Amino acid sequence: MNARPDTSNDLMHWNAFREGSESAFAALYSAHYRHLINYGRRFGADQATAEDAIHDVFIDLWKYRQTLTQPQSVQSYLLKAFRNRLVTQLAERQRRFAETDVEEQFGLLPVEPSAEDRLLEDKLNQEQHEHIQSALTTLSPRQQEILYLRYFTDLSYDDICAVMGITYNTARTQLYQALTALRKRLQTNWPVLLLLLGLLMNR
Amino acid sequence: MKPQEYYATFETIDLARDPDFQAWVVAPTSETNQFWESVKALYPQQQSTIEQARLLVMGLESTWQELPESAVVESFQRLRQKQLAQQPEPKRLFFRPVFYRYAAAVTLLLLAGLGWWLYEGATSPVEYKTAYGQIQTVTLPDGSVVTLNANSILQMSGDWQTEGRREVHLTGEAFFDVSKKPLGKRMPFVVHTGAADVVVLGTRFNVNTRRTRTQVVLQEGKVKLALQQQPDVLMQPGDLVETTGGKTALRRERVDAGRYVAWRDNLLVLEEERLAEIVQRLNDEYGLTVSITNKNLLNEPFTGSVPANKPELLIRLIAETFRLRIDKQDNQIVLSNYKNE
Repeated sequence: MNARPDTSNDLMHWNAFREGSESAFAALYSAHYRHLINYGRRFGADQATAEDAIHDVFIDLWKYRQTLTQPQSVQSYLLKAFRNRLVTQLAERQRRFAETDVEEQFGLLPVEPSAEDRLLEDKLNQEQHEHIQSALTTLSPRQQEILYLRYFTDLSYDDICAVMGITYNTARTQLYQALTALRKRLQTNWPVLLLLLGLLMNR
Repeated sequence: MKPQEYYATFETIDLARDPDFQAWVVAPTSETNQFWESVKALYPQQQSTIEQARLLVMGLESTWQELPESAVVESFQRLRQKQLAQQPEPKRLFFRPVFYRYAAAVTLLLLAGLGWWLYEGATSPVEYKTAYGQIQTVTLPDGSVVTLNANSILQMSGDWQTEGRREVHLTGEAFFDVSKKPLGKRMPFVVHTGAADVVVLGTRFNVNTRRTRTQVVLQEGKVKLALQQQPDVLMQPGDLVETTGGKTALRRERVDAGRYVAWRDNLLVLEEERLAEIVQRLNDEYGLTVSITNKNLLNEPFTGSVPANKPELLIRLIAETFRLRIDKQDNQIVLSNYKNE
């Protein structure tokens, strides 16, 4: 498991930064940079583009720090501000796309593993990886995005809705449908076989 | 590691989010292999959930790109450079004739503003206010530092220092670290609350005015409590004095002052506190309405500490300690006994 950055001191840093603390500002930045870069990549942004959007968000935060209030979740606030910037910037760059088209680009394609990692992985594992990855990419972009946010952050459904600009019910239904679709694609027969075997042996 | 029963009814996504489960998928050891095999054996109905969650973790983890700390630091430096570059440099403006026209207009506006500010600023009060769950530190013009607890208001007049007294009004709870005036200028610092005035000469103390009472805990130095219908009280460090303002007797006792100011370190410390009081504090400081259906429990003491920004954790702890069920109804949290007990 990749160690996820620690966001548990967010509120403390947020309040200190609003008071003008530069070290708290830096702490907020480094607690969230990796999350934001990774999230941005899912929309097809390269690292430089994602970083530009992150910088825009943080420059504004510093500029308007005295008028900021305390959000329910700092992470949700940052992801949302970042997502809005990035989607607008990408839409401008690609010109012919509307912002909703950019949102439709969200995808869970894996990061290219290094050659070394490839060698280390045994064959069975590799097959399973390909299996799940192809299953993930058959989900709709929104389903993939909800799944991504639910897995990589501790955001509540309410916060996820706020980030993506969708309603609570949509989020719940989409995640439910995503998991059902995944379950169907991933269903292998061996658990059923084992169950049958178990039943037979109990007789 | 948690016991096997913990995973008896997990859903796929919740299992995939469990850190112990993730650790097993990404880097299995013989010990964790054994553990998860035993979960599968104990709860056969969970086998397909476990398998799906395992694949989900594999798939999602491969989409995460780890970045070294150095990359984060460098990125922050680039941000700093952009911030510096954005600072305006109005050099050339000076020599254009249009500059003088604007300058005259701006000067007039500034003068008018300054006049208004001098006039208004002298009389209009200054107010600091905190929301539920928020703590704010305020430095006053004389260097005194006030930490405001959640849902509290600190007010003072605009001509604060010129008047010869340093006076503030407090609603809610705050910790004061009052600076001594230099050069032997003795200016009393007074905190007004509904029921009492706290008169200070350089000291550290906590004032809580929630509900109808006023409670003062002195950590260091000396303060005098000026009461409405009773003689003044001189407090020593470690003293707690509580009054409701009327003729009713004071409550005075020796306490561990640190406990009463723990909220400043973002900690909610409860020591033998009655559930009824905890319910009130949750309402005062977080705006949460909690009700306990079994009134017999309200006098039960509870001891524990949680991070101040996690009141829901406290509620869960209480529910688990007294074996209660948590139900959310509208904006209310109801703690009730389980039906079968």
